[in-house]
Amino acid sequence: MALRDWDLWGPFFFIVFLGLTLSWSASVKKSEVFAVAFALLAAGAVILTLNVLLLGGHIVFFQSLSLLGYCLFPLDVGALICMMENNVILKMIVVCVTLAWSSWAAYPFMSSAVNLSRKALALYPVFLMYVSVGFLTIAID
Amino acid sequence: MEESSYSNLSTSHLLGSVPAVTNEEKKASYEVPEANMQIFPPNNGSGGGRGRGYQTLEAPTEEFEQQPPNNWSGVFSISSYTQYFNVDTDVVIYRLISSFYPVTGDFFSKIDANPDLYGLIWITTTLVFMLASFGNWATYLMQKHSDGTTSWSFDVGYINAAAVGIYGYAVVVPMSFKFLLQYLGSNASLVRFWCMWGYSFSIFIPTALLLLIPVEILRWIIILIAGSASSCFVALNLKSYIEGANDLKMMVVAAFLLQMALAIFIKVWFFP
Repeated sequence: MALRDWDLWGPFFFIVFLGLTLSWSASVKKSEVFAVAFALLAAGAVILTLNVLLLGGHIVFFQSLSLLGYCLFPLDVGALICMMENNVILKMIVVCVTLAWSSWAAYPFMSSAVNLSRKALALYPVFLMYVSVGFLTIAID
Repeated sequence: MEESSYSNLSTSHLLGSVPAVTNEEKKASYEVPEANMQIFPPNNGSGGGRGRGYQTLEAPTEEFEQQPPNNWSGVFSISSYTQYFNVDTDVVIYRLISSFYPVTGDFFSKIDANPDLYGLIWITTTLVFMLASFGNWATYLMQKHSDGTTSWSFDVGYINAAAVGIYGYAVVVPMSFKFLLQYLGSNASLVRFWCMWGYSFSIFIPTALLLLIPVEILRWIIILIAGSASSCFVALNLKSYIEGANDLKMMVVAAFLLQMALAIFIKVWFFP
């Protein structure tokens, strides 16, 4: 599987790019926005992986970090589109579509890693992280 | 009568095991995994065969039990913390729903065999996210409602304030209650306190949604109702846990007041 060749350059680039895009779109406190976005995504990926491991799931730590980072790509595209225009309704539609795309990409990996009775427990934090990033993208103007 | 019922039983599911002389033998072997919670990893319903295989390995599990107090190598390995996350989805949902009705103080008896830290971590994280995002949205709505001007901009400081406030409260308050109770004589379990306080925050999550309504008096009513519900949950459970010395009533009152103070802090800081 392609997952065996995990790497962290892609996730690093996507996280920094998302932080930069959000920071560019912000009108005040730009550096704080970047710091919050970067910390949220980086720490979030680590914590999500630890969550699956603590629930008794079977994943490889760096494979999971790599996958969660690469699944940020749709949100990157969404943030770029939202930076370039100001209509709130359009932003919401774009963010919803990219959020669904990211979740759909991360879902098979995360759900297959844990026991069936704990699937929702493992998937909910992934959903929470992507929704919070999506909300940041909409709200920052 | 009994002979006929015995001959009607299908025994195809007993193939491979010792053919049951009576039905009770099969029931006895099923009771063992339920009763003994010390076996690691515990036996789920779905891992029946594997679980029985683990049951026979008595020695390693006993070593595991004695390991944490003796050396520190268990601190940095994941497997020593897995015991606090040994819950299924339906268990978590059941505990969540039971934390919404604070009338009976029996939460500790529900979590006694299996306290979990999953609820604490993810309920507080959800609450931090909700406070930051809905707080910003609420200030936007209030400005639109009163001024009509659009000088609002997203305040990232809300995320920092929410994280420090909620995580700090959720970690420090149960710890201080545990150490205080231990100092005063009765023993207290830190994990159970963390679990209970964690689930007490679940009421604030729909409250954050309701506080979006830009009517000031309604916001105060909502937060007071939610605050008192959450505080009653904490106070009743703490009372039933202590159930002993009379002079510990002050702790129950203190817990109630602290939770009300948290509710008022939420209203004043994030939904002004």
